[in-house]
Amino acid sequence: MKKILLILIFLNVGVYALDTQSTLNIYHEIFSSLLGSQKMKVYTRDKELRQVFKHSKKIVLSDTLANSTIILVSSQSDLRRYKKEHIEKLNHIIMFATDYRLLKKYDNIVGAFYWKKGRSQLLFIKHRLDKYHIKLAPKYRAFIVDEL
Amino acid sequence: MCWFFKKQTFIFLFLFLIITNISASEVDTLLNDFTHKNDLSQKTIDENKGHLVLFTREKLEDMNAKTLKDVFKTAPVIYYHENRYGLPDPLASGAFEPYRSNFIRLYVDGVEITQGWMGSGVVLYGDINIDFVDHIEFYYMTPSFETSVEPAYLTIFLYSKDPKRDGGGKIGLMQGSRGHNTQSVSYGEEKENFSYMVNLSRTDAKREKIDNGTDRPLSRDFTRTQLFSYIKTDTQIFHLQLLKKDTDSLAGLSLDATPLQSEVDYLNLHMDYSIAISENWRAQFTYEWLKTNIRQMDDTALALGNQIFSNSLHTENKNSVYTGELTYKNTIGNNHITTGIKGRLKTLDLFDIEEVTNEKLVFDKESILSLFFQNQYVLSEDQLITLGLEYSKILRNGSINDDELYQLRLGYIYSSEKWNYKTYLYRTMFALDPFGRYLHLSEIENTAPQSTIGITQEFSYKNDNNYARIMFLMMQDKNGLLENDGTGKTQYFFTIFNYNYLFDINNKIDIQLYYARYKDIANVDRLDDYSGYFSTSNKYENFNFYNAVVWHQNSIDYVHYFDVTSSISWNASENLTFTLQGENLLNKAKETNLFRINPTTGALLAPLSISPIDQRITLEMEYTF
Repeated sequence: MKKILLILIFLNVGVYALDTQSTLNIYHEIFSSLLGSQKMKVYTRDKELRQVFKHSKKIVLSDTLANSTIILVSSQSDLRRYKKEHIEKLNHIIMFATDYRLLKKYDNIVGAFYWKKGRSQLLFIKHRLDKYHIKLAPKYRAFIVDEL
Repeated sequence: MCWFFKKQTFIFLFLFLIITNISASEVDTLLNDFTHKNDLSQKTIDENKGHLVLFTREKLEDMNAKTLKDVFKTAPVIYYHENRYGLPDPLASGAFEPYRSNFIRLYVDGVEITQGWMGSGVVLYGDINIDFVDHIEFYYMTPSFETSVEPAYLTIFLYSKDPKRDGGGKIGLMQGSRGHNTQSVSYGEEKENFSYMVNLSRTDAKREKIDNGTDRPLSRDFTRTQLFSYIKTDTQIFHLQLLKKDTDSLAGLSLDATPLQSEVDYLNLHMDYSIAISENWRAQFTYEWLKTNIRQMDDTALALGNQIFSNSLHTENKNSVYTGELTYKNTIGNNHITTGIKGRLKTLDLFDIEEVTNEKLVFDKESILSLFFQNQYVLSEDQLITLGLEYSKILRNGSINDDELYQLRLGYIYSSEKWNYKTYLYRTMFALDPFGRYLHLSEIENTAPQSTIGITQEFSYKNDNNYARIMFLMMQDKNGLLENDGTGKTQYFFTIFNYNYLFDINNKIDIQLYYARYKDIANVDRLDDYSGYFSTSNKYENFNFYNAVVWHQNSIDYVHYFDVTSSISWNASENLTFTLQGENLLNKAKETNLFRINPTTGALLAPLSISPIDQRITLEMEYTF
């Protein structure tokens, strides 16, 4: 309970930090659906997400692209950097985005979890999932589109 | 047998559908939980600022709110009101005062926007385009001293969008009744070590004309161009804002509200820079500049404040404001201490008007120096006491009296997962603004500050689907700036009840009731004010629906007013949205009186009854890239 009051006092200090538990809950759900029984070895350059994922018992933060099972793309500069590192050759690693524009721009990204008009949105593209032989559970039906 | 298999298949399909739906709701629940716990407002709300009314980004989108006016008109105490110049001024009385809403202060990203010499920025920014805004917080009661340079009874905080969530570009085009139109373009980007955002908008407001019994009805049309921009790193932020507003100023200075010409033009520049020097220290600097051009003409004398001028007036007025703040925060045991020093200098750089004598131009500087101390002491796991003290010295040149203000806030907060309780006791002192003092120099040059003693309480409850809150406020003024002549003490009481229900992620209702009782204020002995707000927000496939009604009634005439708004949005694609909206659909939105005087006899004429909310249909297109 003390946490509640401390949050009241210090909320405006840690500006724009993510809530750890709700963020982990949604990413655990997304990653486990995409990876099945594979380990969640996540590569991301997003400082906030790295901070959150450190608290996870399921997610292992990877320091290199090649050692990861999923790559989280958060910005255009991420994408440019990954392309320089010839990410297209790592075609067994699943790419997921946190920005709709990245999902639209790069065909290897299977889905995105992003903000739109103050709401979080989840979207997967069917033929891109098929390329990785990913079959999502029926509960995701409302979040899968054939194309953008 | 066949029947049995058919039945089995049916039951199987039925169960499959139920299970699928339940599972789908699981994902929805996770998304909803993430949305609410990571909404940007969750990072900026400061419960110690007072009693909060929050407009999250989601709520603003549901409401299709495009201007601050759309938000104000649903918020108790403020609502939306314009003065006789057609400018936003929630506390305006309809009489001849220049403006009255200095008690309400406006902040953008935690930095106050002022009109400098002329006081609160509400009059200038009260109806701005809010395309750059992520969420809005209103706090009733004297704000935390950490926030305010000058006292206030109500503070409004606008927080801008973050490129991390709203990166890229956005174009918005809107066309409405009578040729009303708005264009807005935004672009934001997050780079490796910094992020930036720019929003440029232009509004050509074509508003309803007001019949004043002549062949020249009153006009309040305006054109406004505004630029909002910032660049920020993890520890620093710099804002640049520009606003140009050229407006037809309704009745303006015309005594009988029949002006031959009534126009006011504003040009405003705002810049601020904040830096977190260390974990404990933060500094902030602000510069504001405002140029005002007033052009007024009538066939008889003109009035501004208590001064009477000839039948033609053209003034140019420039003023600057410089503000500096240094704050220190630390935690020592259970004490969370904030202390700091703030300084503000307001200068009247130019007041070019023939009728004002040289004697009055001597008063052209006002400085404010404030020291504050605030402690939030954690009593137990769910209770907190807050104590704040502030001393301010206001220095004025031109032989005008200086003022000393002593302020106190004492609060108690109880907070659990579902129940919350807050109470505050406070004493606030409030000085007359320099422009008002300047205009009536001989009469009120040495007006003493107003003192207010107040107490507030709030109870709230929330669970996954429900939120209910009731709050009470009682205040009494001594030397009230708004009290009736020769009478005693102005008193206020109001209560607000809110109830929100979330059926599911796509369907919500919002209910609000408000009752206020004022004694000895604005030329009435007693005023009872009632209002209510009811809205529904629904989403079905690619369509969003919003329906709302704001109801008002007061004891002056007990007339019921209803402002009905409806909108439907079609999300044609992920990037493209069309919205059709109707505002004040019944043409029965709240009206208030604009007083008139016969310039020849001095007798009061029948006041004009005017609604600040136009009846308007708009069609809007929004494209993101």
